[in-house]
Amino acid sequence: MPTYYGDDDIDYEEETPEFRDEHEFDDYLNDEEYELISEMFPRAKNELAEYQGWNNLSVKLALFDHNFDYDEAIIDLKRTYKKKKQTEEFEGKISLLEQLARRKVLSTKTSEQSRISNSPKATSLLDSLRKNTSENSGRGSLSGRLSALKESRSRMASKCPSDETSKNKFDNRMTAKKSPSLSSILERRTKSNTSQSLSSKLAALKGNRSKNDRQIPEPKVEKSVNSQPSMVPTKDSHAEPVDPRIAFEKLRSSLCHISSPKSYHHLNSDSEHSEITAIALSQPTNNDQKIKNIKRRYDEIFTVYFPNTNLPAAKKRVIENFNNPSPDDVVLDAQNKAFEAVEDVTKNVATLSVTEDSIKDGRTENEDEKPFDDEPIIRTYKKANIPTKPKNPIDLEKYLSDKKPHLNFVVLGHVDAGKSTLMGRLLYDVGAVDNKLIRKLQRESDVAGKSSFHLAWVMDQTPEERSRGVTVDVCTSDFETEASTFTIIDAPGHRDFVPNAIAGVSQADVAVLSIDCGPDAFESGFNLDGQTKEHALLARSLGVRHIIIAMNKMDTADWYEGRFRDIQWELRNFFQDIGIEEDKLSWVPCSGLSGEGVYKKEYSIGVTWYNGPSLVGSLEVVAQKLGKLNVKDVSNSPFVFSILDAAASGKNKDVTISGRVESGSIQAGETITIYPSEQSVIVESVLCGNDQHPTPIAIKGDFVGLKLRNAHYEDIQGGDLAAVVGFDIPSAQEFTVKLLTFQLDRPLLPGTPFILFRGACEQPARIKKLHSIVDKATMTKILKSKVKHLGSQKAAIVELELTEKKRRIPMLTFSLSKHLGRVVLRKEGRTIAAGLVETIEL
Amino acid sequence: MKLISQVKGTNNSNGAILTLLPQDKEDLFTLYNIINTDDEVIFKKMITSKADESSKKTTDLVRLRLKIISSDFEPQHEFLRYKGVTTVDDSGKANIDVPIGKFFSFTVDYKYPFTLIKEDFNSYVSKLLNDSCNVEGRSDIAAVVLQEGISHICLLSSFTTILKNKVEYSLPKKKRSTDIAKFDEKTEKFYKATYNSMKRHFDFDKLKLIILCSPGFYAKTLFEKVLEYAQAEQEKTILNNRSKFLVAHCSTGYLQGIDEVLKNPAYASKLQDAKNSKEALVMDTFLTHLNEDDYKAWYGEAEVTKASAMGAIDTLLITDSLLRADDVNIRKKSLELVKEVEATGGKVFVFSSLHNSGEELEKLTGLACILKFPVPDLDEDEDE
Repeated sequence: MPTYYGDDDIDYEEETPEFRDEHEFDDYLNDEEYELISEMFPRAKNELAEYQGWNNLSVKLALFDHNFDYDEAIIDLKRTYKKKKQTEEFEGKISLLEQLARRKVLSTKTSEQSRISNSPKATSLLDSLRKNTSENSGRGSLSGRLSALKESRSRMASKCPSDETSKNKFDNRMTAKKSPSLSSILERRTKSNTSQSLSSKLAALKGNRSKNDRQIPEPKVEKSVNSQPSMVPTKDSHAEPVDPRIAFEKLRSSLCHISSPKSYHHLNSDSEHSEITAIALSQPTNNDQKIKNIKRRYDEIFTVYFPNTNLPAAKKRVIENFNNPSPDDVVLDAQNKAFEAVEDVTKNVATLSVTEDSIKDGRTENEDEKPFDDEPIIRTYKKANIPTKPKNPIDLEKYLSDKKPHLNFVVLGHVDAGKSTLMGRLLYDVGAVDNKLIRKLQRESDVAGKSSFHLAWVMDQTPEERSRGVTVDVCTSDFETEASTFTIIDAPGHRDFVPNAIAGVSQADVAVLSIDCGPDAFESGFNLDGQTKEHALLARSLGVRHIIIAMNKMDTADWYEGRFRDIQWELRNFFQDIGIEEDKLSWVPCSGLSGEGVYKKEYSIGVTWYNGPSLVGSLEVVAQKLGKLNVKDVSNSPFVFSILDAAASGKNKDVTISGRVESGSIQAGETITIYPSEQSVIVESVLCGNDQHPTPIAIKGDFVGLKLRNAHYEDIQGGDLAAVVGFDIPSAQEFTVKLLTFQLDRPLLPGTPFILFRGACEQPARIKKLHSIVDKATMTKILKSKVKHLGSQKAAIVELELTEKKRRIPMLTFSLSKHLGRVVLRKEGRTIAAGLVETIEL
Repeated sequence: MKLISQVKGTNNSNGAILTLLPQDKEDLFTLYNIINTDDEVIFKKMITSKADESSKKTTDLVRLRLKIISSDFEPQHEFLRYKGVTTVDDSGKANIDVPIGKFFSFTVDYKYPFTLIKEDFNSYVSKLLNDSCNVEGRSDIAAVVLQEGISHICLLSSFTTILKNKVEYSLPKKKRSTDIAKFDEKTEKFYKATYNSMKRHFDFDKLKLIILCSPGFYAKTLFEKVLEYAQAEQEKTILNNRSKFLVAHCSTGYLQGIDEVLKNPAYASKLQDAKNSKEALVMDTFLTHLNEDDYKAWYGEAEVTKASAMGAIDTLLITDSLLRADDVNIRKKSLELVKEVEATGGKVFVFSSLHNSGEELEKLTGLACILKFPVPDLDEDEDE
């Protein structure tokens, strides 16, 4: 049964709401019921051979609904379904591979065709034949059949490795020659189960595996059977008409008698790896629903009973997970579009072999009973190589000329410098937040006794942030003025949440540094342990291109010019020290709480000493300078996206990733690959703004959400990178950086542990090797090549490695990306160094 | 560990024959440090053998004497196994009907004693043995170090920092449009998972201290949540031991955070008996000297040996991996160094390579020292 439908037939729904497919239904039954069903079902199937419109599930459901009263159920079924006039066409649902296989078969065996077209009748005929043979030969024939089947299988298996490289075409033909019986079964299946989609084949592959497992203990059986080897060739021809399911069913039950489950386990694990892939490759078309049934039994018998996972609800969820498209379906989905040429069959085969992996993955997920989980491993998927075209391509040049310049800015500053309040005020004055919300927040904050916090609560939403009055995590918000569009990233000021602030800074082009100008407040934020300096350093280290200093809370200093000038003088010296030029700074006095100097509200009468633009005005000036892009900038660079956050939504494994477009552009319909998990997904839509409305295109610098379908949410983390197909981003464990150390308490030595930040990516790491100390100004002249330790304010070439052995983070060198090739090191709560990635050791 | 019998070597060698019964994972680590390659062990093992082709397989309990070839230690799983080859047994009790030169494995367990024949029974070994037989010196500390969405559940003891489990949830970043209820739900899940992992990995009755540390208020929230969940589940073992929890502050949710807590003087009184807190402090002193560039701190084998020859070493920092090195010469050299420093009135700190600080020292060649007086040109002479 198709468990997953492609894009085209998504609206195809089955009439039963509870069970999406037969398998799910099978799992729902208890053992006794299952036994009954599996006994009656073949009979019913034969009865209904002349009727059309039914499927396995509906038959089973009917049996179930009539309390396993066979006759009644059949009558009911016959009433509901019409007599068959001609074989149904499911052409539309045939997957590519199947079409191919079908064409092959058509060309090779035209004589078979006639027999197949009336296959229902043939089956009933064959079935009677089967009855005869089983009656005649009894036990002997069973064992003979077993050995015949085994032999043909092992022949297949041994042949396959050599065929792997050759095309599917050859594969089919060769198997057809060498083991006629088996391949004809294959062909018949291909015909009759045309409606099956690829994913159901995966399930069948799984079934094959379990079949395969069962084969291993077979020599034991054979011992008892060996007495009649002459049976084998004759059985071969018999085996064709006989429904292999029944043979297997019997095989299974006989095996159950022969050896204990424990020995199976042993054998399984040994053989699995070597044989399965080969068989899976050779039999992509052999998807047998019934084998799936056997598989279920196999699971029940031979897997450990987990009280948790066998709960109906949990079980249902697990099944659902399996029914969802596998990672390779996603890839195939992506490939399908670019996949007109049929000669790429080898690729198809290759992906099928990968599906085997994904099934294994699914399995290990369930084994959470392990005593200790090692460091989490990032699973990798097969990435696509062929780019896809946008759904509705748009004219980039025209779009760019119409577009207002866009600017991402991060708000930094010491804790309680009024960052969130300032942003709340800004959003309110600009009109991005309506009166109603502000009034509501005002009421709530009054109740909580923190009335001055009402503007901050626009951005600080979690109960923790509100009750403690500090921002914990970055919060993004969009707004628009006449001249430009903006994305605000509100960063936390508290020193414990600097990691979050780093994530925020890494997404921004421009920083607004909020300074508390209140009495003594500036000083406490500016001193050694204050975050003012650290944030400024971070902004500089992470490549922020302009800093606007918002001299906040000027109302508490009575708008006194002297205060403004004093602070400005001190800050200027500091910025000079850390190497930020004066032309990259702008200064704006303002008050977040009252709103003066933020947007359009006039300064109070006393402020005659300042007549520059307001905060928003300054931002617009910067946006005009930095936000304008020409077509070349966008179209000549590959699309790279840095992910700040991923959120799962909906049922279709939809994932929305939000973050910043680092370079290039993206439109709906294009395929991107996410690193380090290397999953390739199609962008379904590009979302922007606070309401996440779809937009046709996102270009460099935009802060957007990308809605992806069939992505693996659990393997996407904040800090991951995504790029258009064809632009590979290496994931590294070790890399060399040009490091600039700040004020250190303790020197850096080989082995010194610290936390490494690359954008929103945060990982423990340590120094692997100190190469040389270089000149700070040029960063190339080597001052000292034998370095024992690295002190404060030094520039050096250093090798870094991640502490967790299995972890890799996606990286770009500084020469490739001015923004992503930067790292920051922190230790014991302080930023100790910043670096530019030189080389990446793969 | 129980030392059942000890026979000192007869022919004036410093060998010894010890009969030992390990009892917990600490002992395994001690054994891992004590048993070197070429030492011999005698133990009993069930062996399935087939005398000749025709006869049936038989499984017997056989006493084996092996010469150790390699070891395999997994502290997380409390698993220590040696690979060895059978040797001549002069007593005539072991290796009966077992050919010489056959390979066997020896998995150390807590049930049966075994005999260890050690050629070089040195002071380091005897000290380790004494320490591990002395149960009172034990300190069992558990720690949970966490930050938003990530928590590490660890067990610390005098020798090891074992990461038992890592809980990792990607919590949604808040947005203006984010549903706060969803966010809370995720956060709750994260704390719940951490709590369950603690329950699974910690033996609250036996532990002396449970450190919860994090940046911000996550540790405090976790503590509240743990009590809340325990109350709801009527988990007596946790509720009765609530005084053992210590909520501490550190800057990161990764393992490095634990070291920060260990060397923070604010928690020193609580952590007195944690051996590794001392190590963390010594390491910190070493780094301070290095930072001040006062020529009192040096690392590297050549430098340390030289300083030791001058009798200038105040504190020697050495990793246990040097003292249990496979190469006998390295072992001897390291041991001599330790003796020399102790003879000149210096202190010796053996860093466990299973701790963060030990790992750090290992990267610094495994040897470092703090001198009694500055020696500026310690490294330069050696070049000429």
